[in-house]
Amino acid sequence: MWVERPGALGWLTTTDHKRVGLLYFWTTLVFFAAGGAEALLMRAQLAEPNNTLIGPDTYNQLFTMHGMTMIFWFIIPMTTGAFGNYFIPLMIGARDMAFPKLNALSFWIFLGSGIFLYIGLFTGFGPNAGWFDYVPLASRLYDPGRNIEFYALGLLFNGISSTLASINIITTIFKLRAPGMSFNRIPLFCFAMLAASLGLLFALPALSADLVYLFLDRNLGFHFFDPGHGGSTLLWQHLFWFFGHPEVYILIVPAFGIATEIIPAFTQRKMIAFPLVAIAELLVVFIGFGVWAHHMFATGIPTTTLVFFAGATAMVVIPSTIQVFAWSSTIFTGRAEFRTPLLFIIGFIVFFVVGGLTGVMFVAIPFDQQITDTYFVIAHFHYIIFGAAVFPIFGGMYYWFPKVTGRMYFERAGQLSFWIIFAGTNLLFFPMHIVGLLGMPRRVYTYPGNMGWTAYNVVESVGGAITLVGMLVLFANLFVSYRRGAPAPIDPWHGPTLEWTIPSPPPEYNFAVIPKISSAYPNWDVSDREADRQRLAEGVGVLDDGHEQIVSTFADGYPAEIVQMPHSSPWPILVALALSGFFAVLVVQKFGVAAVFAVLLALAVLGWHSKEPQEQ
Amino acid sequence: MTLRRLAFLQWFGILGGGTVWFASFLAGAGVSQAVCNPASGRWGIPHDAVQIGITAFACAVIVLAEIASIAVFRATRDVDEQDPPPHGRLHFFASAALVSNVIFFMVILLAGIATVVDRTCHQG
Amino acid sequence: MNEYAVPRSTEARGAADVAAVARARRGPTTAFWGMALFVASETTLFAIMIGTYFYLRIKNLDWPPHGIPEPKVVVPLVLLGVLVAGSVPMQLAARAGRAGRLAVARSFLLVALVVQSGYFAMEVHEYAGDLSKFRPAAHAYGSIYFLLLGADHAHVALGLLLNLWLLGKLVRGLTTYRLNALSAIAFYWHAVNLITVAVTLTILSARL
Repeated sequence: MWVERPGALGWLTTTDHKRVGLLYFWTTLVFFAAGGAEALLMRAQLAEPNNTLIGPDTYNQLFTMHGMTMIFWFIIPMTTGAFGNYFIPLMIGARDMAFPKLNALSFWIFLGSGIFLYIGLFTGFGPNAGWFDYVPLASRLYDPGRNIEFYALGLLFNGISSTLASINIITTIFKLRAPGMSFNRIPLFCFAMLAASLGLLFALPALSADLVYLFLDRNLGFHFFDPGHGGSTLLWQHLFWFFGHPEVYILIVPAFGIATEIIPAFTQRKMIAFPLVAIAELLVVFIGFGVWAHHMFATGIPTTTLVFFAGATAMVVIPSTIQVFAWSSTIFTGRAEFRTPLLFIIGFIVFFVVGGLTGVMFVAIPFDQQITDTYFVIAHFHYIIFGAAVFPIFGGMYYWFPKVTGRMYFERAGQLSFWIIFAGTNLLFFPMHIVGLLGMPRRVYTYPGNMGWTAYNVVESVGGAITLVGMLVLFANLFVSYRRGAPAPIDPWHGPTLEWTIPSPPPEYNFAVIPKISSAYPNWDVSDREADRQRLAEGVGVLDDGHEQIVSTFADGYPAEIVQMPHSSPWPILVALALSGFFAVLVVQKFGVAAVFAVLLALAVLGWHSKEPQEQ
Repeated sequence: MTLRRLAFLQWFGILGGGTVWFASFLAGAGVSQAVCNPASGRWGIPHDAVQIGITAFACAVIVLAEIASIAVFRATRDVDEQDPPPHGRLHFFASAALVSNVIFFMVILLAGIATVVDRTCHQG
Repeated sequence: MNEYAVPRSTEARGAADVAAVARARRGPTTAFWGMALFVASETTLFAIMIGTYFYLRIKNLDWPPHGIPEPKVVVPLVLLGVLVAGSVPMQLAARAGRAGRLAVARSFLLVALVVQSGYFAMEVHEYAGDLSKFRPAAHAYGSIYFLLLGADHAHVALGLLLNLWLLGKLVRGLTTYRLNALSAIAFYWHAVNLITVAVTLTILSARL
């Protein structure tokens, strides 16, 4: 009875976490291409001094959209929506996420928000004040067009998706684990997803408040950011970075999670210092809530206040370092097989160490004040974001490709793609350290030829082109492998976690029998897997009376109750459509029509709750 | 030690440190902002004394959290962190808390000393 | 029963069955966790807005600024008491539901709804009165005052809608789904009430 509706209607009404994960995967790749195109256009413009390929207004929209797209429409939805949705239930022995309809809703809202944002760009009103959109530049006085409305409403809209997804992921990891999976037996990937989701849940409200203040200031004449009437321009920055700093740790922690699964798989060794790695995932996000004003060291805030943030910034490095040592020593003491996924992880460690070191340099307030707003900062965060967030995503694509598609990828092409991308990204981002120290500012659409920056910019643009080639090789490899790769066995890598115990691709219901759990490496617990085969044969723990799922207790994973899961439903996409209409109409300030859409939204939510689980 | 007491000590050990750090950080940064902004003149807040008080309190709580974690760690020292619940879970959280409390202690101390030593309200 | 010796919670039919499932279940439901996490997000939002209030406050020598009246004390505190009192029937309704006493649960829910609606109507009246005296577009004081209070009232309004919906469902009988909703919505109200305490004290702090 766990069968999906066929055809397009099946995809539009799906609530299955694997299908929702795939929808996220393809959609985020489209946005990745858009963000990449924006980057390549900028690199083309900067390849020559005094270039006239792209004018300043367009350039402003390009770097703003590039930042927003890559962060909110690529990395977050790829890590939480695609990888998180697909693999969390599999790794904890569940048949779906805790709230399957909410899961689908998160996707459709995410898609709607992306279409909304890009309509802004294509109608000439793309956000243009940077991804961090400082006031007063973003105020009505200096940016009178609709551009900033697309910014504020687009991010508010997108934020709803992430908030709902976080609630789903946290509840799933807390309550839907197979019995026996106490907190100490949760796979490290799930700890990472838990950390990222908790971070999103507590960070997004600050951004939402900031965006509402901005919308009100711009459209209804409020004065939150207006010092002439009791407001404060720094208020924007405080709230933005209260969100923005945890956000960047949220970007990278899922990547840590992917690394902590790939390393044991390709070294056939359990992760060294498991409890420390688990707590480090959570600590880096938690301490990350206390560092935000290190983005404001150059704003004139008294040092009496700044030292709180400098202290936390210095210490936030420690959990990351613990992880780097754990990963490295696990690789050194294991039987390492340098296949493509592990290569991407080693590349990730290299990038992360370099990016982390430059990050620690920013703790020194005087140094920070020197290089703020220069390309040195761009170098730092791209080493972290591209090297340390995107490399594990690529590694994860290769690692789980056999499970998701049922085919093996081509190994030599995979290794080639790694080396080209590794070379390209180093060429692209390393010279930015130097040119930043030489004084080249950020967010400039061109530069004079006599500053000594030209050669570095040329190298960077070449590096960008090489990176593009590498990614084309990667995606071509995955595409061709999908069509013509060798059929994949259930367990090609002898990986540690539960997804390697079920067929490739997994059936709708994931597990025919709810697995017995004795550790965080269940696929390596031979006697448990043997016991599962026995139980299946005897019909024990099969839970096949409808769409059944077992719920367990929070800390110790004792069985608590059996619930019915929803199946396909039209309500998520209908609610998302109503919400899209609401935001679309707000951007043109038709508040009356917006109210109509709000009523439609309420009706759709009522419809959602009209059928209870036992009635499905 | 009873299981109830072990569980209480375990949760205090893992959550107490972070909670008191975040609270003391908000309080400390908040006090420094209150003292260094226009409206604060009439309130006469003794900046350094308040910061020392906050730092001392937070350090004391963290030390207690660390002691609690050590107690649980020692009570479960024969347990492996992958062992069945509840003792495996207790040992796991205690191991983690041993390290996290030290990190939080260092953050509190770094910031607490710096904010007092620094010239109050000197512009950054 | 099944090999895990736990209830199949959606199979419960009738109030007594539902109560038995609730007794046998270990730990909070996923519905409760979902509501708790949503509440955590909203609480953070209010903490941010309260932080904004105090941040703007320390940036301004005169608070409220000249020409804007100080907030009233007695009426807000009395109304706050009325709202917080609504937590009692909500909690009693949830307990009655968990014990399978559906008619009692419905009665307490109705009492809560009446009290909370009365509160809301009075607050809308006060809000309109404030708007006639000063505007959010005049000074940041007004901007944060009206947004903070408005957000709080919006959350109360959402609670009223939730109570109405729940009452409609409970008229037709008790299921595990509806009982979970009752517990979750009771929790929502306790949270909104605590948030309103914080918001009210924040607004009143302008008199200090």
